[in-house]
Amino acid sequence: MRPFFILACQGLTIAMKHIFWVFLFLFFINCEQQNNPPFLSPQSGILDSIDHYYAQGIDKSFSRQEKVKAMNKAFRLSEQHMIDSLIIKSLMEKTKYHGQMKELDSALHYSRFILLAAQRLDDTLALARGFYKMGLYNRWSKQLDSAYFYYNECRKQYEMMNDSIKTGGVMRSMATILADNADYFESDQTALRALSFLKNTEENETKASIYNCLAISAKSRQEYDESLYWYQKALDHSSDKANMAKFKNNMANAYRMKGDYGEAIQIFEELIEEPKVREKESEYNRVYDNLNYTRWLENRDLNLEREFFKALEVREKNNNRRGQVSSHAHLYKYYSESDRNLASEHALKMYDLTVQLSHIPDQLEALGYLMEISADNSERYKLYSRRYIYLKDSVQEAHSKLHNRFAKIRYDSEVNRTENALLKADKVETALDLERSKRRNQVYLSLGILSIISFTFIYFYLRSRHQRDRLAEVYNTEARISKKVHDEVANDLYQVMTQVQNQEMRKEQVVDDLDRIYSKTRDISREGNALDLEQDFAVLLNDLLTGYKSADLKIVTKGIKTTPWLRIDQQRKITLYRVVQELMTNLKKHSKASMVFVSIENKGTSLQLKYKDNGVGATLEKRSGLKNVENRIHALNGAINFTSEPGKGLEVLIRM
Amino acid sequence: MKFKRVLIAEDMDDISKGLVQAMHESGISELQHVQYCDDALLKIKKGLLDNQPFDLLISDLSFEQDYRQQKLDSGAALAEAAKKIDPDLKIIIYSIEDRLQMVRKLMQSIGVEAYVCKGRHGLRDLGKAMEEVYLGNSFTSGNVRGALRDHHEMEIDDFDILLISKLAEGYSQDEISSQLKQQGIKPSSLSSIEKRLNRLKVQLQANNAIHLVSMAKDLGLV
Repeated sequence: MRPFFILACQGLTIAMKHIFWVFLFLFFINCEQQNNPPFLSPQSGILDSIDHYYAQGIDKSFSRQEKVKAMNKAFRLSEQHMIDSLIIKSLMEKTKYHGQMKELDSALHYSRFILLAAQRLDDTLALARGFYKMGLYNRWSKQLDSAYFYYNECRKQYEMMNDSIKTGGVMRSMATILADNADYFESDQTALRALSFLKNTEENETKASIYNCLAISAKSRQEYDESLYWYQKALDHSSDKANMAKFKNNMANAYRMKGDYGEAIQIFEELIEEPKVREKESEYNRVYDNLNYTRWLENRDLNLEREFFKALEVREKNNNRRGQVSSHAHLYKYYSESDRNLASEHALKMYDLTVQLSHIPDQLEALGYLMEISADNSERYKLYSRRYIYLKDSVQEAHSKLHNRFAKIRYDSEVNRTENALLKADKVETALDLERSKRRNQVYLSLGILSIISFTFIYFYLRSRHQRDRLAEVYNTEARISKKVHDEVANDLYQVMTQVQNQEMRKEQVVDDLDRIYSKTRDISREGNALDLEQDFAVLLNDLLTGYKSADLKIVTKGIKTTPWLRIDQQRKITLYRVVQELMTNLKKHSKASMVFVSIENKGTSLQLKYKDNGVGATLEKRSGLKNVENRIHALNGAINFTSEPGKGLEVLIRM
Repeated sequence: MKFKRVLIAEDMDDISKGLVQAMHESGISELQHVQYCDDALLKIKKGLLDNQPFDLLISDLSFEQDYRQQKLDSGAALAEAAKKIDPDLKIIIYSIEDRLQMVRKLMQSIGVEAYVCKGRHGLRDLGKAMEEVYLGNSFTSGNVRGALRDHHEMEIDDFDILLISKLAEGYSQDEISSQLKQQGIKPSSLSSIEKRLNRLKVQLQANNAIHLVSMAKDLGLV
């Protein structure tokens, strides 16, 4: 929007430069008046005359010409006597008539007079209305940048006056201009801000047209579902049949662009039957053309050439240029497959019209068609593509400049108030978004809650199960230790006690017995010892085996030094250690072996332990120690194989 | 027994009483006894200051925690600190602890002279330790003696097994040597084969090659 702003400012500076001429003009008018016999009467008489002409000027029983004539007289008199309030009053009507008669230059010219008078009077309301008129007539004469500038000035005035209805209304127009200029982001922003001003009002038609604007913007971005959503909102708010027909037509177009021809055709067919549509030729023609085009899109074999031209003729007759753009677009599409020359002709006509209308999105579309139809690398193709790129770039530039402008507004104390409005608008925007995604959010929310609940449940379930497992393990360990203390320590101690009580015993023998029991308690304590896995596991394992070594037991090991212990996980190391411990304890207690061979082999993913002694052999069932070995290995999903023959020692093969 | 000034750090009264008694019997002239590691270190410092340093520290390893906050919380910490301020002080650890890594740590890293395990033969070992330490030697109780040996003296490897199986197949050492040379296996010299087999004999306490092979068969090595 920045370029608009600059242009408008330049326009104003030029106007200032020419203010001299304005005064000169006023002077001439005065002279002219003086040439006529001066109408000398008291001030009240003049007021009466002005009132009289003004009343004539708005009297509906007079023809438009007569009304304009009377209003001119009222204006001249007011001006002659420098009665600014009446100048404004009369010019308001005069400009309106110029506008109605499409005399836009005059309308603009006299609108400037309104502004000058309003400034002299410091009349904010008049200023606002003057700005609005400037905006409106500029817009009608397709001076969109000036129009935007004056609308914006108008908005400032109304906002200062805290007239939110008017503010919202003028912003609606601003949003439409922005959308016509393909500046959708800014357009949406403005539209939403406008909605925020109208939030607590009953301006439903204005709101509807803002929704329509949002829908058009979404449609142009090819976000058809979004667009349909806004059209529905526009329809919900509007109660004006003509407006509703327009929204429905737009909605059907959105369905058509989305590719949902069936839905589009259904809406068009309903529309074409509506009295409000039938009674206005241009409206009927529009629906008629759209319906035919959609039918053709659905079935390309249909021959609708005549119907398309009929619509175009009506539009040409009514000088409806926007409509002609659509007709040419439809005809281009219609011919593009069969007759390239005709197609190209319609694309060109369409492009010319869009340039006249300075409607950027349509202009881009037309250029797209022209590029499509002209031969690659031809001069024409290059021309069109350059123009296309230029337009695209300027649209994009406007987008990128937007952020800078927002930044500037923050430092501009003059516009600081708008910032507040902006913030408010953001809030409303958020509220709107919220409204839209409420249902979606509810679904997400319930899904979220559900998953949180289930996660929590699973977490606690797993934790409690883990705790249960741990408790069971602790319980098992405790039970094992307690059994050992009972079997191996308490029993032996009791035996010593009874011996000491009943018989004379040598002191030495008592001490020996006690020492045996003492070392048993040491063994029990050692079995439960925590393993310090921080240190070299080879040393740890070697120390364990060394502890069993004696003059009566030869130990041979293989692989302890060479196994890459760092690469083996802690769980397997602990299990291996405990298993060797159990096997050695079993050996010491029961086997009467004099030799043992312990070999460890790292076989890629698994670890293999081989144990062989030359003792008396073992029967698995009887030995709780060996049973423990089995349990430990199974806990790691390992495999264990005991081979034992009485007199031939015990051989154990473990893989884990 | 020629140690003159001996300090005992031991918090179990009964044990320390027994110790003190044994010391007196062996004619130690000056014997002091403390129950806390911090106190022990203070005494050592004082001895140095008074120019009457202790000759020997006998210390337990674990001291029970009580109301007194201790800087040195174990005999190992005490030994380390004592060695730092008085490298000449001889230290004997007298403990129930028999984990080999602890023994290694104390004797090799901290540098205590002896490690005696409490037990049936504790007092006897302590007496032996004092004699050895006085002579400038080190001492460890029998059950922890393995701590200071080569970590892998029990370990054999594939080469050892190959040698034994060759012997079991009836080859002489000469024949084995030339076979290894043929197969490109190293070491293959006669002398290294002899060395290996001798080491195996010591390891398995075998009287000769035949004995070695028969034991290896019993162990499932071949």
